[in-house]
Amino acid sequence: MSIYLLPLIGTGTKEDPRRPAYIQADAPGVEYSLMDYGTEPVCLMHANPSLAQHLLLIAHADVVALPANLDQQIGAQQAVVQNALQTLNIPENWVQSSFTYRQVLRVVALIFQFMQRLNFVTVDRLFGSGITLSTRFNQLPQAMRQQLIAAANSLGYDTSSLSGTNTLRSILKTLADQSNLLEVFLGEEVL
Amino acid sequence: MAVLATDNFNRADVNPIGSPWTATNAGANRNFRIVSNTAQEQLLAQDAAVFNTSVTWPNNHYSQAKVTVTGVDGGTGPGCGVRMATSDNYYRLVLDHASSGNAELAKFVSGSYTQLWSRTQAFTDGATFYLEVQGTTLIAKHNGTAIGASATDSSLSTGSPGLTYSSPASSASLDDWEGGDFSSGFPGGDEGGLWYMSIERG
Repeated sequence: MSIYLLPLIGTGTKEDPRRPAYIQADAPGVEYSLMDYGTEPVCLMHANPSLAQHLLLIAHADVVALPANLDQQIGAQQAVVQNALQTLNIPENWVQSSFTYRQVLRVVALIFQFMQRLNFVTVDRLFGSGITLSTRFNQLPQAMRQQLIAAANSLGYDTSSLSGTNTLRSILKTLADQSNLLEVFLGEEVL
Repeated sequence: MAVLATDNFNRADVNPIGSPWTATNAGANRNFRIVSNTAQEQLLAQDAAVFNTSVTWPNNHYSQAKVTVTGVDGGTGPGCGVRMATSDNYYRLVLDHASSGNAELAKFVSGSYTQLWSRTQAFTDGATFYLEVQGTTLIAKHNGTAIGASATDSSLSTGSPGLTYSSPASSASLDDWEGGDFSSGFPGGDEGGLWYMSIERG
């Protein structure tokens, strides 16, 4: 079994549901579990493809497969992990080499959970045109600022980080750190 | 667990299904109807979803019903929904008889459809399927046994349980629906409840 960080495709209609990219072509019929990054075109996927199917999936440049042993330390792969996250607009500067993949996955999953709630508040993408992890809160459109605060409030989070010159990189991590979820389920993995 | 509402659909045929059910989408043919003492979608070619309004539903609840379907497309057919509300917001579990990937958990957020998981669960028509949501955890069951691992999703925080249908199928129906919550209640069923009320009223 494997966990992948990969593109999420689909427009969300009946004919074109939001779903993991490549799975239908490379691993047809394989069961999967998905956790989306709100409206962003990215998801975590847990699946059990065959080795041949796995190799097809990871042949795509935008598919990241996590190691089977999630409890090993990231170690020398720290920069690789950080780059992979940053490329997908996922805060990355908190990742340390001493962390295990499971520890990193849990934080990423909690960031995804906040973004899911934001998706309920607004269908607009946070990382729309010109918005990056380095964008400051006071540089965001007024409507998005209010929507971020509304999403945080609905989760019972402290919203003091949603202000001034705080970057989205720090805001999303600060919000995720406030989650009280003891367990996050992604397929057969508990994070 | 406590049962908060039931519906065996044993009444005269009617279209749409009417009270105590409300469609999540006000569009044409997105509702359910009563046919031969079962609940059925209005149109086999159109997705449908209705939620129960018998009570004020707590945020954590379950929805279950007996499922009968003819269809092998995978990820289609009738099923249960939780945290359902207007403007097409809900989680749904739907089932058909495809040999693989016949059970699908999905979410609709302001009408946008995301497939959360696809699994295989063989069943005979009339089997009971169940979907619960507690906090951010979703659990699906077939005749009381979990269909794989739980899922975590934070999109929807409120709503009601109900009935769902994913097109297409050749035929589909739901029967003996039940919704409830996870309160432990008092021993003695209704009598315990009355005892509790008397204490509250002093």
